[in-house]
Amino acid sequence: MKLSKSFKPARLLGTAMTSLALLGTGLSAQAATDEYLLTVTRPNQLHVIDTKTDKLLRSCDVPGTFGNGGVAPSPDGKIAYVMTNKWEDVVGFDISNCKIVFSMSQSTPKEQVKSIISMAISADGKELYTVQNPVTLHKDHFETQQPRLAVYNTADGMDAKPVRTFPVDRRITKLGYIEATNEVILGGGDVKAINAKTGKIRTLAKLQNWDRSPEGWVPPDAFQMHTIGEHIGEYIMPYFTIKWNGAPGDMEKAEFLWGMTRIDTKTGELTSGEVLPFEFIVFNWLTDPNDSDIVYGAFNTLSKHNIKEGKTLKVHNMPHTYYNINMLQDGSKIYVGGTSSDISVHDPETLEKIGSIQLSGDMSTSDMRIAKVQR
Amino acid sequence: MHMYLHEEVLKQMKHLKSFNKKAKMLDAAVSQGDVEEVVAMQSVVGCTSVNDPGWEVDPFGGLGSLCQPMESDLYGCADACWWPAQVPDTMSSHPNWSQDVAKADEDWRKIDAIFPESE
Repeated sequence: MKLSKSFKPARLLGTAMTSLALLGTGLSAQAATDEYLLTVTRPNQLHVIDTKTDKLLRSCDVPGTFGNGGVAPSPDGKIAYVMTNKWEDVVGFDISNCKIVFSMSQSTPKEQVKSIISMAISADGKELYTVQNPVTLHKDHFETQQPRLAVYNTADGMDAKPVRTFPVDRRITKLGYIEATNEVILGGGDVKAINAKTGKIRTLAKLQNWDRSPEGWVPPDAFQMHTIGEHIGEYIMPYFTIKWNGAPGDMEKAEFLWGMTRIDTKTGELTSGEVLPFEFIVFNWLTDPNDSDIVYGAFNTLSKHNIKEGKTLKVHNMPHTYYNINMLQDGSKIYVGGTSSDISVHDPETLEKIGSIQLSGDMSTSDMRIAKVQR
Repeated sequence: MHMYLHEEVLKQMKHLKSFNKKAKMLDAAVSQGDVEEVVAMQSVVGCTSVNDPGWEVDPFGGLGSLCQPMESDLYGCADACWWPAQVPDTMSSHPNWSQDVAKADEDWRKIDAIFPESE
């Protein structure tokens, strides 16, 4: 295996949005916005953290057994939708007082329905989407059914029912929403988008079914947990691949590479390609709000990279594994969380630790989302 | 590694006689080539569908890229049903497992093992 430090990205990302444009839009929005960090811990509590002070504001008890800790904030930042009860139910909280304003249960006595990570909110906040994976519970066997996108009206409040459903692929996890086209992003074997009014599906980026020759490339292995990128309106998803520079399987000549698929959730513009040599594992990439060529990753390390140059700029060793990473929209602080019960706060410039937020339980697979509330 | 295991299983199946209805259906599917290829870790899909090496070795053949310590990863594997053979699956079969242990790294002594109910 060759881990080349002089890697040159084959298909560069980040040309669509200039750093200047990001900086300009960010500054006007920041002045009037309060940002709250949202995450869920075992046994089952939603935590609301003030990012000005990095102090815990309140903890809301979530009904049901811990699920995946999935959190989707409403576009106005006031409601946090939490996936709970063994990945089956969604409960919406007013984050200012923990009042439950929305609930839905997907399973029935005859049909078990799990949503694997997949939950998203429309850009106007009126609809909530899940991908349902139904299994009919017969007396002597289970029967898997066609997965479907389920659409809920958030205004329906308690015990809401789907208003529309559409068939979708298996193995869909991370969802997003494209404002310009009113489509739900379906992160699965390939990245697709579905019109939530008509059910029409189009492919955005091929991964599992990409067109490259197996003589030259290994099909990408995409990791699609945790919704990342809302701090600047992105849907970002890493993948891993191997480029065979010799015969397939010749590890001496092979290059192990990180790639990513990045979608502007406002316009739907997508870029996808290899960006960095695979030197260590990260669970997700996160784009710097002030320079779209700079990304951060977290796992056993917190790392900073320039994807235009294909270089790792800094690596900071972490005291334990973290699954999840997020940052403020002005780029002033990075939050690293998931797994255990502490969120580690870091300076994006130096990657040094500048704070810690202690929680009452383990985050496990929970999301760590930013809710932006206009003052 | 996953493809090797898959082929080995298929090879062994040639020497076995199908006993019940489900085994006969699987046998027929194998002979018709209808059994889907195993796809390793293409995406997270819940119980038994993720074919991941486990905690034994990382992608580089070492240990440095495994989750550390394992207590930080324990609930992440149980809740996502990532390795249901190694960790009780809280998604379906054992939802109440260790619900009273909020912090695995501090209270790992309180975490119980799972035993078959008949024993």
